[in-house]
Amino acid sequence: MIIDCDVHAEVREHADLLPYMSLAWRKHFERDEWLRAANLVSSHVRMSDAFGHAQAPAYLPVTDPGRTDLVLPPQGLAVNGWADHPAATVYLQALNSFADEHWASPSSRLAIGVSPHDRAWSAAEIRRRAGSPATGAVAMALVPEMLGSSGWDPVYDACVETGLPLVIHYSGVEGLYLGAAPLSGGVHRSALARLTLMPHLAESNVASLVLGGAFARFPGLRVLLAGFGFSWLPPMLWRLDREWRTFRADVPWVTAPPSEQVAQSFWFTSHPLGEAAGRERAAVLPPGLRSRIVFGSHFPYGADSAGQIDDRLGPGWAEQMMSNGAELFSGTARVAR
Amino acid sequence: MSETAWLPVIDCDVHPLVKDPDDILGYLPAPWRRHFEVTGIRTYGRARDSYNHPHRTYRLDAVPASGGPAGSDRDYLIASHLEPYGIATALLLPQEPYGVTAWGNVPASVAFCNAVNSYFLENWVGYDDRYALAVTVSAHDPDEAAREIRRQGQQPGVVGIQLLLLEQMMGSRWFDPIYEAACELSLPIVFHQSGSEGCHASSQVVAGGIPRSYGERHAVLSQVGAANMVDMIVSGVFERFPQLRVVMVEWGFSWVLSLLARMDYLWEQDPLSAPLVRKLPSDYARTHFTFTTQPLDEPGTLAELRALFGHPDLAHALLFSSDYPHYDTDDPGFVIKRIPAACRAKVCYQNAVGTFGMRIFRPGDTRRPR
Repeated sequence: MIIDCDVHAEVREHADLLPYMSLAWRKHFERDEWLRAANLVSSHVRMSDAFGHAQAPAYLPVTDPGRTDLVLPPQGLAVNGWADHPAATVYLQALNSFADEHWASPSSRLAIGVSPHDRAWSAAEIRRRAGSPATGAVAMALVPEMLGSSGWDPVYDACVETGLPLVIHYSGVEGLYLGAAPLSGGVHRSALARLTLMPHLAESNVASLVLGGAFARFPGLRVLLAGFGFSWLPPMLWRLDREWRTFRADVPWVTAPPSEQVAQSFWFTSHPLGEAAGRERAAVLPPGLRSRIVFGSHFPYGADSAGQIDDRLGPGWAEQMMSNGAELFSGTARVAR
Repeated sequence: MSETAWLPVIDCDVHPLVKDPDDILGYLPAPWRRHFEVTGIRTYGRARDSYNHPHRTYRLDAVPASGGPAGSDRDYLIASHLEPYGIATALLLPQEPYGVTAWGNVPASVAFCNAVNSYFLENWVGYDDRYALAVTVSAHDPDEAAREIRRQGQQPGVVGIQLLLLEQMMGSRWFDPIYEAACELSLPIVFHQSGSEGCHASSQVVAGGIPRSYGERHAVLSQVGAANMVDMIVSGVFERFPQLRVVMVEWGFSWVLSLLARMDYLWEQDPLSAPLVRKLPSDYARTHFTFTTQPLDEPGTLAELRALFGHPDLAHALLFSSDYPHYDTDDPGFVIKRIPAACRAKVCYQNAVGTFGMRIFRPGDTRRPR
């Protein structure tokens, strides 16, 4: 049994999406720069300074019943850097329809893309697609309004109602495009710095979700932080618990240490395994957090394989991660067991 | 305290305050004195209307009977903080200049920082050998900052340079004049948050957006320290200035290991992504960075704490600090006992000597190790 919670699938040509749009929007999108931008948009998630790169191999739906993929189209994430918000919803709607036809199978579950720029549309899109057996999660990219804000409640309401976990993954334009979420510090001109600092987005949004009371409003909300690794987690939770102890009168809706909420409501994908490997470096992960780590290969970008897990992290980790993945999708997805 | 009383302690983060900001006026040239008499002096960086502290930022028991704010009485600070804990040297990081990070007036910020340096040199460093100073310069004008470093850098008791940031990250060549002066005088850069982080358009920020509350912001504020450390490494600062050292104060340190492991791994995967980096990022970190201990994290188990202090990348890099007189002071009597015995001497003073040199012990001090 392999459950891979971070698999990326790209459209090869933006023109492939035109049939999924109204005639009027097709006319809007039929412009040379946009039609040639599929490769540009998909390159953001690679976080490389290289101007060109080989196109990712086409994603083929899984037919092996012993495997489940959560398919996360990176092009849908990159709308967090789009200026035209109505166009972003049309793009996502087309991408979701394309994905449903081309990438879904009983073992390939889709993280449907919703727009951080239009919560009402996003909530409706979640409810519209939740009935499809292909839908496994909801993916939304980050904008500067952090996830603890009650402004996201329509999206969370729809996630909880449909039983779908919310997946947060960087698009790669964070700290790069205006309109997307910023990275820590100031302006980073190096791809290495941006990718190194990407887990800070996860840190800040864990703090925001927990202290902002999202789980007091939506106890059933489940969040998968994908692509950020996990070795940053223990020190972050020490800090978060300390601030809660010091200032808990400021957040009376948080009635238990934040680390307990994290151990209950969050999951984290494993990529890149290499950063957590090496015994002298690996953060000690308390038993309560081991149950929160799921395998995410990050295919096809510098992907880890399931076979590397135990080699890198030690015996028992692969089995634990797959079991955690099954738990994440229990009730929402038909996963191989 | 009995088991630690024999150790000389160097406290690398003590904030002295002036009784009254107007006391600084006497250290300014007349035209600037008149300027500040009209404008007043903003001495805090944080936007207090936006991120107001839920209680107060200082310890009530640090407020001196002689009047003035917490930390403003040099005798009371000695009697209540240095002597009870055997602190041989308190590294003074004046906080009034943090306000200039919210100032747009460049020459005014230069004049004020310089006056604060003169004030503390005369009234604190000159008063007791247990006080050492990091002279403060801001990013407003790096050439003026370098001039101030050369003007004050060789004064007895000056052991470092407190650098205040605006939007420019520390890897920028903007800072080269400052780094050049720092290397010339063998003074480390001391990097402490100013409070303005995440508050102003000219401030550095935490990732993701704008945290809602003081505590939420504080939980992730260490990101600003981490981001500047990463930026210095990828920008080749230490290839340009191989002698430069940076003391990271009050940014925590438990995040360092996972950050460096990630950075090493990503760099090995794609060295072209950072062409100015010539060796493992963690190699730069080991050579050029130290970290103060406050606020000391509280892992779930003592084993985790021991593993942190004993890690080869940190054992030589941690410097004890209290952050007196702030609300979250790490009480030396409590915290030093939590530091594993095997690294206590390193953290209490040996690593500080390695960072600042023996000048961290002032000449008249009898508490220095023999």
